Amino acid sequence: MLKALTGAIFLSSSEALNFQSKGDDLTMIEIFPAKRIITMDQGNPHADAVAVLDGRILGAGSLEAMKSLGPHRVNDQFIDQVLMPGFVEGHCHVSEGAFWAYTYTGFFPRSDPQGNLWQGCSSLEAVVDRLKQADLSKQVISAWGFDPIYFKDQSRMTRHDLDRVSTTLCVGVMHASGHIMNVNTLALDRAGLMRKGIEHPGIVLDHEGLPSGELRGPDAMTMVGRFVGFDREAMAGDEAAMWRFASLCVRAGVTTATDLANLLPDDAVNMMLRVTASDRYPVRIVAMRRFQAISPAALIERALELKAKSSDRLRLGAIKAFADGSIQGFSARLRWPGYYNGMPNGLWYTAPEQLTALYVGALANGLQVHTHTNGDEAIDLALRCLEQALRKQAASDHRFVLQHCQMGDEAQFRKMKALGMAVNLFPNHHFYWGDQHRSITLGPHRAARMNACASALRAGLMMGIHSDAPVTPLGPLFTAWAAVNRLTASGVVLGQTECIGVDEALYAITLGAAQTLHLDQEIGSIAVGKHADFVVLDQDPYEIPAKDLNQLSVCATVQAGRVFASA
Amino acid sequence: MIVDILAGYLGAGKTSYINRILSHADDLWHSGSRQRLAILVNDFGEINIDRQRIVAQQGQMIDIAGGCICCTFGSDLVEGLQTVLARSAEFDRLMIECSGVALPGAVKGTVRLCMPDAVIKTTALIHLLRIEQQLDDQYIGDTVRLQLQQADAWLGTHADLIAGEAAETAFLDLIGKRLKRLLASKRVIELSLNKHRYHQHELSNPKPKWRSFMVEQRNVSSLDALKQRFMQWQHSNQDPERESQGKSRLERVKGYLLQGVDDYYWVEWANGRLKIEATPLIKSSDELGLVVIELLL
Repeated sequence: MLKALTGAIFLSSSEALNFQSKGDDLTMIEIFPAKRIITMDQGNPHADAVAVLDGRILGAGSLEAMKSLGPHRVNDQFIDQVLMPGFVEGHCHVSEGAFWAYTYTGFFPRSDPQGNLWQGCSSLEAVVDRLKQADLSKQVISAWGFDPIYFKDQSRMTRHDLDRVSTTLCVGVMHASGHIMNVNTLALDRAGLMRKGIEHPGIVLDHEGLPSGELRGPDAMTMVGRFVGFDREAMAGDEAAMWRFASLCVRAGVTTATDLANLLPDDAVNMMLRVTASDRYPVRIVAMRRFQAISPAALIERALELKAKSSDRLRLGAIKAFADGSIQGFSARLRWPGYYNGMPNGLWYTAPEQLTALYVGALANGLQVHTHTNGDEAIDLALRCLEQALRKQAASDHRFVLQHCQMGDEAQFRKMKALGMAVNLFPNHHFYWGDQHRSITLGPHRAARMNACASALRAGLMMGIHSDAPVTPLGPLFTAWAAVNRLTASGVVLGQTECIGVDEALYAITLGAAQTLHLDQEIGSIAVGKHADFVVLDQDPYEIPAKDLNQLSVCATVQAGRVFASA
Repeated sequence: MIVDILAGYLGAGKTSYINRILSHADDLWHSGSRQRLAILVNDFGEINIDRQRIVAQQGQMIDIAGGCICCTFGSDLVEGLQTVLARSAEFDRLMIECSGVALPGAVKGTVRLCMPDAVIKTTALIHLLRIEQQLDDQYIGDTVRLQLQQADAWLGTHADLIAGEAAETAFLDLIGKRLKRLLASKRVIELSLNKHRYHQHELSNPKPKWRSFMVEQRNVSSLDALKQRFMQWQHSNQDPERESQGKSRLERVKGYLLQGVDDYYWVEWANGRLKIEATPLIKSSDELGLVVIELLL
């Protein structure tokens, strides 16, 4: 098992979470008064206090009204703070927790599960320096988040840079995109790649004809991954990663999070059931089985089996399929006129007939399918497949979701609405890659309509917005900020007309995201009968300028009535 | 080590092909070919392995009577290859079934990376009755084209759905007309037709029956020279311009040629007869050039 490799030591148990046990009679009503409670319940939008019984919401309203509900005790620890429904992250991966076992080398500052802020590495030297500080007594040096596209000098990292970190240990640095990795000479040697004559698009060669140490795409990365700590087993996550992920969720105000593309073998499911069953585990996890290495029929059978194993804090049964790849990796499928810089069109990840077969089976069995689509052609295809499937197998409120759906246009959103679909858009992309989308992948016009939240809402779609953590940091408030302001890293507003209001963005990270998971009966708003899942904020998001939405602090979360402090 | 990569769109017949090989694994071993096989498949879903013939199963790997091993790789080909290569002493030939949307060139590159010394051949399976519709499909057309373009050999399948000799004619005509532009210049594609009538020893290595290549417009000095080349070829069963290629019979030629400024000709060779006729303006210069199909002797 891989242990923490960085200077920071991570606790691999519930001790990592600041869980405040009540020790009181659970049958007594607990009342949380707050400076303001934003409920997202349109019939009762604001309250002064919320009453909780058995982990569920008994009422929200005036303090007096809550007190009249029965024997109670008042917990006034949030009296000067603002409560909202706990945030719902509809598209992320628990592997964010696994990555924090490695050294963070990203360009942007990022908080680790302990709340320590890691400064960004803004040059190759900064990355090398940070890696030199990594614990050299370990067997390998692994790092992640590397983001050289923002470096002032455009020099590319080579194995020689990483040889300065170590020549006796293997060194591997994963890029922020997750699609490229840099390694040192020793790692290449171990993988049998330190030779001339290699011709592979994923292996970048130097002027001597030897691998430069830059590896692109899954094939080249897998060749070397196991020598630098990035093998599949490590990334699949373990208990420690689950707990680290939980800490990140509490700090981000998330009380329900997804694990969107897990292969979910029995061992992993049993581990996740065990970990989430702990009364100190602060998040409800919705884990989806990835459509890979299995026929559609076998997957339906497996998903039904998984669904039956669901617990309150581990929801199973949904399916994740892939239509295409990523825009910045040029593997997304685009309609005319294709990539702005002339790159050839991307790749299909699943044959349409198989996607249709999966949809038919899922519709017949009441299973929800989430389909990864980035390019507009991939969206078209997914819509066609679902339309064909619905002709064979009519179903109501199937609520299939297009995930990312980054290039979705108005016509496609209307079609999605007509087919009974929901959408989960990816506004964080505007900030992290928006400048690249403008200048390289899509050009200014199509970049401006990426993650068109306003159009999706106008079409009447149920809409969530997401971080895809670890691709971008877990943080619904940041995601809401990105949807409201649409700023790129260089400060350009990417498509003013697609900006949404603060209210719409907050809805998208609570009830909107809950709708995409088919959980809006249970979570997403503060209403009687729902789970007592809250986020506690230091300020009222409606009282601060919209451009500061990402500056709000999460003080704590409450999940099923249990309080988890974020500091 | 010899590696066969089977590509082709969903439904082309890759799994059926693998299943036929698996059902003959014992015979293969005893028939004198003495080739021990390892097979990498996407998933076991449609693979027919008689339970009684499973010698051992561990995780993604199944050992089958007759010395054959079968392993699934999902979408992680490198991991699958590494798993199989850990037992490389136990087999002589590796067969890889690509997913229906995989590009054989990319798969070949990856296999080459893991196995620098292997002899690698990519074969694209072509569903004779569906290929035209697939090539025209708005979404998957370009993927199917790339699959064919990148393969070293084409294997026509589902020929049993077309009666008798008509299947051969259909296959060759398909290549002459529709698949013409997928023959990149100077490439020779091996062609074979799966009629489900294999001799056992051929199972792991579909023997090419024909080969196909393009004669570019610029390589034709005159119609007379062309006519002479074909006549000589017919007479000696040897293409005078490709003497190193061994004996073969000229089977089919189809295509347009431009002579002078704007004289277009349709050139066709079938059943030992050459037809050259003037034709009106063609749609684009892309249509120029001849597809030649030869029968290997």
